[in-house]
Amino acid sequence: MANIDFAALSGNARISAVLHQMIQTKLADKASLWRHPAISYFGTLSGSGSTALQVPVVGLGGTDVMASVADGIGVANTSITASAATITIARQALRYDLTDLAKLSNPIAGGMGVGIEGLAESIVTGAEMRFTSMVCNLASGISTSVGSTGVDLSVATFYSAIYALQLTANDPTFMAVLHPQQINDLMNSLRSEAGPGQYLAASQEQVQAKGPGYRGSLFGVDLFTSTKIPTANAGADYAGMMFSKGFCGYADGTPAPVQGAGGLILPAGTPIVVELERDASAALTKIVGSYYVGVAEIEDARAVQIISDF
Amino acid sequence: MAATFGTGGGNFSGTAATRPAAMRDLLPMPSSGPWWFMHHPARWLLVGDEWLPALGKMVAEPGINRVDKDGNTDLVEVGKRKQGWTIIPWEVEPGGYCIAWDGQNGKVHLSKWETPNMIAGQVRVKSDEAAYWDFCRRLVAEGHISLPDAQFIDVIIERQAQHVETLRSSAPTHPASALVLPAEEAKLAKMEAAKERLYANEPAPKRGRK
Repeated sequence: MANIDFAALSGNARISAVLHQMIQTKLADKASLWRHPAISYFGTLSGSGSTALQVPVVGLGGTDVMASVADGIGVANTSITASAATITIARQALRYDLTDLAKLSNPIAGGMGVGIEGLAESIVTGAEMRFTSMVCNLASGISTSVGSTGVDLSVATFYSAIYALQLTANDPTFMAVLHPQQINDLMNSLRSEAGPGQYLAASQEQVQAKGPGYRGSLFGVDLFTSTKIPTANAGADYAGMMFSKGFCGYADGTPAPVQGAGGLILPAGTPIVVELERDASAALTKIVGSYYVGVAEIEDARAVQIISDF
Repeated sequence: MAATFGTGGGNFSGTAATRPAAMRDLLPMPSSGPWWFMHHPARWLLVGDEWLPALGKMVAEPGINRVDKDGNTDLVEVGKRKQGWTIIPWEVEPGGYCIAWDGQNGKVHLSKWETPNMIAGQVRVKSDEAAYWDFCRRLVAEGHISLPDAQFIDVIIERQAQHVETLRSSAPTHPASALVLPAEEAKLAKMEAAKERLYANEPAPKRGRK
């Protein structure tokens, strides 16, 4: 008599694999700079009458210095130094279309995973990553640059960046955003470094507080890593950056819900709007996320670009 | 009467098959907007044994640095020019230097000298650095970028001199410093020699994007 083995049941009473009730998210860079205190938030433009916000950069609080004046001589009038930076918000968006068949067969409860709620949550993370990418893009247009093409990032170049910021009287709390390759090269250079320089690796608590991109502190500079750091010199190099607070900022806006429109998800505490649009004839739900944001350089002298080998 | 069907003599013709739209080869890279090279007078790099401009990028993506909702870069250009940048027109390179590729999430804009390809399931971008530096060399030779003020080059040379000095002082007690010192000294000498050569020729007239 034949045994009842797996092969006899396979495809009928047994299946080759079952889906686990939990999914593992694909490896990707999820290190976000969103809401980092070194990146100034200038508020919302909702109901402001414009999509652009002008940020005055005015020479107050010690920019103009008193000068000695001889007795009986009138003092000259000083005109104030002022410029302005403009932040223009625009729509950043991400859309997923989910069929009802895909939705009803989702094995994970509560619509998480590849379900409506799971995709809406993914859209919020997508918005954070877009914001990070927009901030990193600013590195391409910083007028002060240190480093050499085709040369790995070294402690000497890192120091050059610190010196450049110090020379222009920046506040001493610096932050560096570097590509993972630059971080690796910097750590490699540290291995052969002499002297009192200190690298404080990020602790679990710090990563929880400052986000997964935080890599620790080197010579008092907070180190962040992001794969969104742009390349330079036709892909031969990476263009990271070091800056102090005030280099860049952002503004955003959130549209008010439209009456009679489809479902709307407003993720708690975020300006991101996720809308659900039904296409009943196709049995399809469109999940559309929008984030109205603008990121801009406010004061160029507060940053330095760090060039190093790809 | 029997029907007579005409025959075509078997002259069939065929065309090369095309992939269905869903099977098109699309670059698995994040989408990116068009951009322009730009140059600031303070940004120079020692490449080999000559000073060449370190170009930056002005990206035309809505929401970044004053680019408006439609991708208009007028305000960015004004701001960057006020800071001293020169915007390099696409036309300075035959066929343009910013190339758009069809990506999975939209257009991917790379420089003419970057070629993406798939190797073992991963996207690698091959860079023709020599051709890119030729382009930079030509930007200076044709006057799109002015020769740098000597002070800017001096700042970079001073930075290198300071680095060499640090290595010299630590070399007697620190083998790693002693190891890299000759290369860094040679680089400093190259920088100074390249500066001499840079000003040996007459500067070309400046031309920027109109």
